Amino acid sequence: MKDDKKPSEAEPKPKTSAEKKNEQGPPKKPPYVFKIVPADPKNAFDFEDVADK
Amino acid sequence: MKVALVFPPQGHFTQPYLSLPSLAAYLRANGYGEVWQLDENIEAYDHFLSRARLERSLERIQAPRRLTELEERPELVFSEMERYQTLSEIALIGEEVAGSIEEAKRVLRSKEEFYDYERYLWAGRTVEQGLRIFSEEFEPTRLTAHGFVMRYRVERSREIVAALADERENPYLEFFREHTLPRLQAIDPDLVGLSITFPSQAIPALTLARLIKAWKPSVHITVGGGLMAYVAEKLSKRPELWSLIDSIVLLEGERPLLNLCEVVEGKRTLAQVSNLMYRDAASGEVVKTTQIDPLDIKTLPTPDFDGLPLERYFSPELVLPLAATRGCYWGKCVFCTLYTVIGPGYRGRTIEQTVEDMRILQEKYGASSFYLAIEDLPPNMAKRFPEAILEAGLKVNWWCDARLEHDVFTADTCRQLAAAGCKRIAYGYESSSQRVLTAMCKGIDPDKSLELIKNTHAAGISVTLYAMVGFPTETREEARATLRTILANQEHIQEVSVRVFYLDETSEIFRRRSEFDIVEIYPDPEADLQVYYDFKTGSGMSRAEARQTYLEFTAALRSHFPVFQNTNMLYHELKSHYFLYLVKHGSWDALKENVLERSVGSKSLDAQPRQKVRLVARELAYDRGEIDRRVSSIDSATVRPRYQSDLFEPEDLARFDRELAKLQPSPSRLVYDPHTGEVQCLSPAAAEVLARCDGSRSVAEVVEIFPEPVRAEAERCVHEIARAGLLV
Repeated sequence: MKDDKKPSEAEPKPKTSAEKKNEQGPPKKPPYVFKIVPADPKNAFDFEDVADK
Repeated sequence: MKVALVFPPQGHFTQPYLSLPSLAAYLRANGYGEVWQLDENIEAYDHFLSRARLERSLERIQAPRRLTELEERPELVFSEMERYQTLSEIALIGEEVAGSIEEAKRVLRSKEEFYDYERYLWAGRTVEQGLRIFSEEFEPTRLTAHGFVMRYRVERSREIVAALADERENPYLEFFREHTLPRLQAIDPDLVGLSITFPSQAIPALTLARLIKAWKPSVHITVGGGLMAYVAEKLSKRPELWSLIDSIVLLEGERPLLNLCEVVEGKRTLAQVSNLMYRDAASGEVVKTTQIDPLDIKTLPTPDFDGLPLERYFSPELVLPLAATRGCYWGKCVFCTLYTVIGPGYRGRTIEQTVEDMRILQEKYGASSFYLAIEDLPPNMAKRFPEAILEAGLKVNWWCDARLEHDVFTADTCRQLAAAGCKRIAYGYESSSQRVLTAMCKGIDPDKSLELIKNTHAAGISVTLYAMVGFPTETREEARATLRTILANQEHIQEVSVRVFYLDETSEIFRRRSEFDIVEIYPDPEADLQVYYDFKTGSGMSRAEARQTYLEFTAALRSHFPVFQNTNMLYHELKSHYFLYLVKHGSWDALKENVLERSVGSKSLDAQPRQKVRLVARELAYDRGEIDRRVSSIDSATVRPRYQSDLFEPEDLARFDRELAKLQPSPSRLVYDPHTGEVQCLSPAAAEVLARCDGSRSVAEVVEIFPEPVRAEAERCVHEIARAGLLV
């Protein structure tokens, strides 16, 4: 079963010094990326290949 | 006297080619009855795409284990990303594809299911996936529906020779040993003819020749076909060649092959065979015999397809090729190399003969669909052919190439052509620029051409345009204007076959290259069989710009033309599938309305969305979507002579590994839908959304676990998942 608890409701924990240091580093990736793309294999169809035969 | 004619891999798998049936008919009509035709191309595809063979590939590839090894790396370099793409796909879908490949072939051959578009798309995708699985066993070798490439380049004879004995990377060694040789041994031929039309056939053909010679050194092996006309002179200088074959037929094959039968019977010497190259046994010198006049094709019999495995092509109905002419009645385009391939002279059969050919083939094989394998429909034939077909009472469908002949394709003529079964015409349009067309010596007016295109479409005939990008001196603006014109007239145009211009050493433009501002060519000193040259012009687009402009074309075509959308499958299987769909639906407009524009996943979202039951998923340590993007971007940015080999050079690959940014782990989920054959890559959050679509929650409940600021985005994701077809 999946835990349906909302991530935003998770209990906050005290930050470690490493975490605090990280906060000052480069911006983090957004926490929620909703991405769905067709897998595109390398040898997918090419117009020129078709024209050859 | 037994003759085995072989069409070696790799060609297309949807219909037979014309070379063997033309030669077989000629030999049989001239008293040689014991002629076998072996299409080893379709035999190989059929075997490679079998359950047992794919399971053997999966066993040898060990995709899950090798993927795990990659997953454990702290980062991936470019070549590892390429491997990751293939291995992650095979680890996910390998077993499913092997288990359903026989069904996929059955669908492509089924008169009912082939025309069920969803089933067709599934079958096409499954065949492509099967070929990727099979290819991985021999990587970096790649066999697709349209091509066969190895690391060995066919423009270098030294590499061809190396490929012939490479057990690990040459998939045809095993196939020929296990399947073709036993068939040939049962026939025990005295003469074997190998027809080599495409560069993709060169290595397989010579691989087979080597195995035949090892089995029966006394058999006379001759090779002929379009490719030989290009490279025979160069290839003949390579001593190893003459341990594989005995002769090379140049240009038209009918008479030399008949004469070779007489040579094998001891009635003639090799020196007495015209259009031939061979190595003189006594002197060791290569001899080229005299070239005879072109054949009067009115004297030829109807092509004879007897003995070909006609039920095995991946099409539900036969589409038979038929040549009404040889050569081109125009014959002036400076880029054309036709006369290198078939020799000089434009010849035609009578219209009555062509109609009779169709009648005979229809009666004998039940074929009612024909591809007129001609360079261009001659004006007199465009005018008189329809009436002759109708008078003969033939119910046939056909397609062909044609010149945009201003006085010919009037509205009336187009209507008559359509009434006589013409379903598709492919025109050489090339460019919308009169300047470029004049430089090409096309002899057409782009504005008038548009009128002909409209006439053709209005008559219900599907219009295909050939377009060329990067003709020397063509500017990027001129090429873009061509694209704009095509898009502005897209309601009249169904397909566009676009390609980059290549400089062929046998073309008129190569001979007169300074007139076209070609200031430098770049021969490859290693490539003794080189035909195409990279070059630089003093004006117009650079080669890199031509490649980029070509990609602009293909991107625009994919977004604007229904035929190229939804994975392009109909176009992908170009040789006959799109045509058969046209025949089935009667016209382009009907096909568009009934099939191509039927939107996928358009049904409204259920109140409680539920994911499909049989989805197959795999968690990945790396973002497969990002890997696809990176591999594709470097692929698109690389300018290569695609015609002959499109694998990266090892030194380029090593440079990419060194210089390109390495990929850090970032999890993703790959999801395969066995019903459609599609594979989607989901980010962890999107995968979470999909998992929550279990039929018990409303959309609002599906997204409620996410923080308020991103819920709207999560809702959009539910709709995207629905559009991707992952919901019931």
